[in-house]
Amino acid sequence: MARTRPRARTARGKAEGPAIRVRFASGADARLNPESPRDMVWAEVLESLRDSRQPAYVEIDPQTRYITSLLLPQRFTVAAIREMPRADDVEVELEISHARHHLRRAHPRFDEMYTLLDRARREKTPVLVTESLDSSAIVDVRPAPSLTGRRRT
Amino acid sequence: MPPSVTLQRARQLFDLCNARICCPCSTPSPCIPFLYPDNGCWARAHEMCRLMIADGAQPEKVWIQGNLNVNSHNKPDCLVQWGWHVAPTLQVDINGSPQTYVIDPSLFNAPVSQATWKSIQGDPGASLTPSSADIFYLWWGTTDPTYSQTNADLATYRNMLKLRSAGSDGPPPYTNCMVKPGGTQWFGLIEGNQTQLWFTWGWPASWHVVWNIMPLTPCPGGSQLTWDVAVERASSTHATYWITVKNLSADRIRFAGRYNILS
Repeated sequence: MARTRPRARTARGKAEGPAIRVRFASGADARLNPESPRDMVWAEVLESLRDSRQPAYVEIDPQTRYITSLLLPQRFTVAAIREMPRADDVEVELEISHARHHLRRAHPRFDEMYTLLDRARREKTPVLVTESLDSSAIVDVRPAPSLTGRRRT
Repeated sequence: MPPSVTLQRARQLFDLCNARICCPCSTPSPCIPFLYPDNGCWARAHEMCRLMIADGAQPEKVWIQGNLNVNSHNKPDCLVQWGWHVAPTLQVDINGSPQTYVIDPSLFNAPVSQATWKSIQGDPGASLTPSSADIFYLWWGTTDPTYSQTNADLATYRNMLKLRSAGSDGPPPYTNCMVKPGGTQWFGLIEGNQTQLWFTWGWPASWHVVWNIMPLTPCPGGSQLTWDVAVERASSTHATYWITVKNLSADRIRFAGRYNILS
């Protein structure tokens, strides 16, 4: 698993079967299947992220190097963290966002992500938050890199 | 307060914004991702204001804050939960007096009164705050006169919509959130540039049945689906219809298979 910025899209591989090779700014390499409509959409999204210098959250199969999950981290500040009595998650208020965001207590990295979010709230520093596509469940939190050279302000 | 417009003009401005709706699978820029209701309303509202101002209108915005819960067939779990929401407003002349109407294609198919807009968001105690159109984010008091942040945020949510539509949930609308209307035999999903066959059996042969395939996934700009109907006399009394649907576009499309019995 890597949260990393896509750098370039290269031609189809030859000896290893059909593939679009993706190289990330971190140096990691991954593949997409050009025969999969879903992967072709992912390639378009990765190109869009590369062009706008935005990060990507990807999960990569360590055996095949194919990307198995692509999500979009977003830069937020943490306005509040609310404990939900008897609930299996905590609610996180992010800015700018009007969605309700949830950090599941059952997530294996709950403690680590909660600590990062709480520190960002106290220190008013931005974080990169990644959520699942079908809900507002937080799956990854990282300190946001400097905005130097980025388009977003 | 800006001058009032007629309801007809408000509908025209609504249509102006709604015509920019994103095809959920391709989301070509500069479309507006109304079909991704989860997040990004502030960017959608700012872009809609830009479009209306360019058309000579004088919109404002209304911000609602509360424990908002909105049923939506454009989210796979059918429920959108917000802490706040924003949309453009217009003053509309209703029987000689101005009333605030909201332009919000993510929730409605036409302009609605501010009271109606508030009423469907699940929190009668929610507070409303008006602002001028140039306010980008109410609680920071920020503006975005160059629309650079608006465009960046719209690009993010276009990509979100695109990823969701390419995934296992497929493109909106999500038929598990919908009540099947009368005259709808089935909901289907067909991949881009594909042809697929469905059949439906047990129809009395004495009935004159006509079939219609209606795309449910919005994607303005070109024809999406075509279909052929073949019939099999499966018994002395009943028929089976074989319906071949062809997707003329490159995008996945959800559709309704409709029938009408003429006799």
